[in-house]
Amino acid sequence: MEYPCAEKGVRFGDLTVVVRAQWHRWPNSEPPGGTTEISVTLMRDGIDARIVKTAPFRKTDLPLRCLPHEAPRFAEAEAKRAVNVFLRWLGLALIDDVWQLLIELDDAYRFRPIEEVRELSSLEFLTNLRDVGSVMEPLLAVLTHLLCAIHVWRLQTDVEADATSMCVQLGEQLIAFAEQDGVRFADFTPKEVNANA
Amino acid sequence: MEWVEKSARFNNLALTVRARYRRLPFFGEPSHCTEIKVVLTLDGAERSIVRVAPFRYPKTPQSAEEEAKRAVRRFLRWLGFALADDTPQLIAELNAEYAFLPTNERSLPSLDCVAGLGGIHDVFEPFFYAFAFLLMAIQAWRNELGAEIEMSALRAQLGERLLQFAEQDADFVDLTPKEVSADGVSVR
Repeated sequence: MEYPCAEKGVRFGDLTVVVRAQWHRWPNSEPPGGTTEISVTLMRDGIDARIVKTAPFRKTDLPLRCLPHEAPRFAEAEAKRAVNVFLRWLGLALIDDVWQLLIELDDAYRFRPIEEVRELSSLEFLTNLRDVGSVMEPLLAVLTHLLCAIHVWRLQTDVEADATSMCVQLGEQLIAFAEQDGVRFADFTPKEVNANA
Repeated sequence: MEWVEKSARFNNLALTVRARYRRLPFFGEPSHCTEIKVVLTLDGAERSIVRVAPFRYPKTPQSAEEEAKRAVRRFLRWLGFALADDTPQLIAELNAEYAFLPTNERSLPSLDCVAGLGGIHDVFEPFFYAFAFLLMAIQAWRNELGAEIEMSALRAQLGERLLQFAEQDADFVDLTPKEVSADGVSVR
């Protein structure tokens, strides 16, 4: 059975990014569980080809009290969560808040041992680090393309705006967008440039 | 250049780690990659498992052979630390290679952090295969022997031997314990 997928789109300059997630149930698994898959699609205006990167986002069991007919609702909530979390990480990366990014990645994937709190065997550490690594491929692809799009926009508009502050602004917008429910698309291309550009 | 390789055996499992340094074609700027290849062969099996991954993208090294040797040694060291369950040391070594965690001495742009974690993911595929097969070979050997050898002590011992082997010039080591103590709880 196909469960509903969640999707949010972002545009900056000539780049459109679509982040999509879907929960897939493992057949015949006991307890019932599945994987949320995340996929990003990168499109540039005027270019026919698109870049698509897909990665497993996280594995989850169905909640114990979840009745069969409630599974699609769980799947949808899980997919929405994945899209929003991915956009938030993207925002943190653009802001260059590496500590917060690492804290959130570590909360999700538990790849850092914490003395006397979280001991990790090397097998757990390696598995978890591999899992976080797999979601980094789509994240890195979107991050680098957004950075390029910012530079391209600056060159095309001949604006002297500082690239770092533009990254921070876009990062904050993405974090806010990740928290909005019901909004599926946002264009973050700057609409106005101040007088001193 | 040719592959540089080192091999280890544990009971019925042969593990070969190969690396080569090569210049990537079709790039405007000189671009380089050290590739790592793991070959796992079980005695009696017709086929081997082969996994190849980019290890790192170095600047032009002084010697291609030295760079390849370094990759093989590094990979075997990580396996040694993983076997010995020395997670802090494993993290420190991975971080030295891929720079994915900022430290007090080194701040890190998030782009480097994300790229570093992605780089680790690439090399983890062959690494995971090698590690998982070694663990299985150790378990199988214990079961065959019917010995009560404590797994963590055995793993620590093997990890230590792999670390030594990584630093040696030798191309091959047999890690299979030759002697089991009379009480069946330790090996040599």
